[in-house]
Amino acid sequence: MRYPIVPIDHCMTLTAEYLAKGWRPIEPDEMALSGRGPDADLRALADAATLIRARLAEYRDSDEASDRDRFEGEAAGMLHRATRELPLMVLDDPQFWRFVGLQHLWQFVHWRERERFDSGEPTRYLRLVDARVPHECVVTRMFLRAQVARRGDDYTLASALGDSAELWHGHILKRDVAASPPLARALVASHLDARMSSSELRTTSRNLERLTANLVTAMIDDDQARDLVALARSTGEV
Amino acid sequence: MTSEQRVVRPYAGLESVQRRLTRLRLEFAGQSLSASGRLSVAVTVFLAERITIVTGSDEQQRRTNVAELLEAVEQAGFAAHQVDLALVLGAPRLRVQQVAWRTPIDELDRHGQRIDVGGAGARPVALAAPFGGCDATLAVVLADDLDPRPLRPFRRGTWLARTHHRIATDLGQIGFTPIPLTEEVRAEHELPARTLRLITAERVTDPEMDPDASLTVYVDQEVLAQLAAEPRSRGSRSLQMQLFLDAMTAVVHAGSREIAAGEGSDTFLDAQESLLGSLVRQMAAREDEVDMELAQHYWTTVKNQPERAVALIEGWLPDFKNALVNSISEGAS
Repeated sequence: MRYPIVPIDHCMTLTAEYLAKGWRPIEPDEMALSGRGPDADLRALADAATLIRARLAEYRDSDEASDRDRFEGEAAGMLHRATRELPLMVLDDPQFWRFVGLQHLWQFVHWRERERFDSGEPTRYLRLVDARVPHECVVTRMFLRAQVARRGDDYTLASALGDSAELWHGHILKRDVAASPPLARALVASHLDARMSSSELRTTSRNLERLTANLVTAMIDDDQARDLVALARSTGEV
Repeated sequence: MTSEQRVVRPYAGLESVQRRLTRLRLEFAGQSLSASGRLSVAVTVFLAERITIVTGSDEQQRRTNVAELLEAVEQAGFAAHQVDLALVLGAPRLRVQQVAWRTPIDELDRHGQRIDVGGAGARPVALAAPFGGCDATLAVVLADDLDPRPLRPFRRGTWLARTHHRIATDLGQIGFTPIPLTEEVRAEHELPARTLRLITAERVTDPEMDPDASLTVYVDQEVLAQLAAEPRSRGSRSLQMQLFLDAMTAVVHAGSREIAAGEGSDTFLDAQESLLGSLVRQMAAREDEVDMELAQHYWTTVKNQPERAVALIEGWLPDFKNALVNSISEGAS
């Protein structure tokens, strides 16, 4: 299957250009492709991106506009639904995600992390678009967040919590817990039931890592995950 | 994993299970995966082949290995029906882990000497995602919850013993794509117009960091275009090697600083999946096996004598001297 990609050098020059002169679409003659055979069907992705941009325009003017993470969670479900059936080879390719972020979702990505882009320092902003570290790049971390939160076609858990960047980015996506959706969902649900302070969250997260260090996390089901999170929360500082 | 996060095993009497488990081997594409080791294959091979659990080199060996593993599990105080053998495959970039194959340990004897996993039709996620590669864990694991007792595993899913393996592709090798050092990049980094190279290395000892993201190499736009136009000329080959050495020098010095500052582990084993870990692992590879003692020695050398570590890397680079000598003589002619 053939699919569009953005190599790393093009990613850097495009990002610098977008920051200096504003966004423009990647022209067909500058678009790189990877793979062979029929073209990947990316209509659902384009539709979802259009929807996300339209929702963003409303959200920016809403009372919730300061909670950019909540919108990231909402858009995460839309993005995942539109891409989840693509071949794994495509989803695993950081070059494809650079295309998604720069061609389809630049306005959102820039709005979401504008302070880091405004810093003007490539070392601070490049990883938000280059997809080399999946939990740091905006579009790949959205995909992972929705993958963890998803129950069938329901993605509400991804945006159920307000101001939850600390939970998602600090305690789920960059940790081993991201590879166990039941465990991650149980942690989010527990936080939703009774919100933890930053300090409680750190302690619970650390306890959970200790409790699961000797477990094969792929075998943890929803019931066991709930028990483990409850234990991690009740144990306190060890 | 940092040293503070190192797995604590609060259990006794499982050493024998671990020893017996290591007699079982994993194979991929006809090559053996050494315990705690890494195999690198072409993308086409990665996407087509399957993993095989080899329980013995012949039927006699298989019977012995299976019987002794079962015996070790029972001697550790578990009934055979309480314990499974499982192969877990992970796709690290996609953050997916799957139990690709599993059997109660008392039924292991029913399987043959070679157990194929991940053939066509039921391909695990981890074997369809070549950019991040595949993490394979073979584990002896508790199948049910047991009554809690001190120093004894009791939670369902607790591993009694395990071996880790990694299958990578050439898409995830140590390496870098030089990026054009343009006027804009020079301006961003406040560099003079004549600067030809800029190398940045950060979090090189952090196993959580994608090794590819730890290192960025910029080369003057014109020089890079010339390299691309004549990649096989003697001058180009020499410059490519010199760039590699410069990049690895930056990695070594960043690693030395990070370890000294306590940001990176003192122990190679804790950081082997980091960029510096990949470099050290390749330097310490001996016929597909990583010599762990040698790897730790190199790790300590990086920390205490970074200049010596750079000299060792230069010695490890194949054909560096020839490329350099040829490039000099070509330039003089």
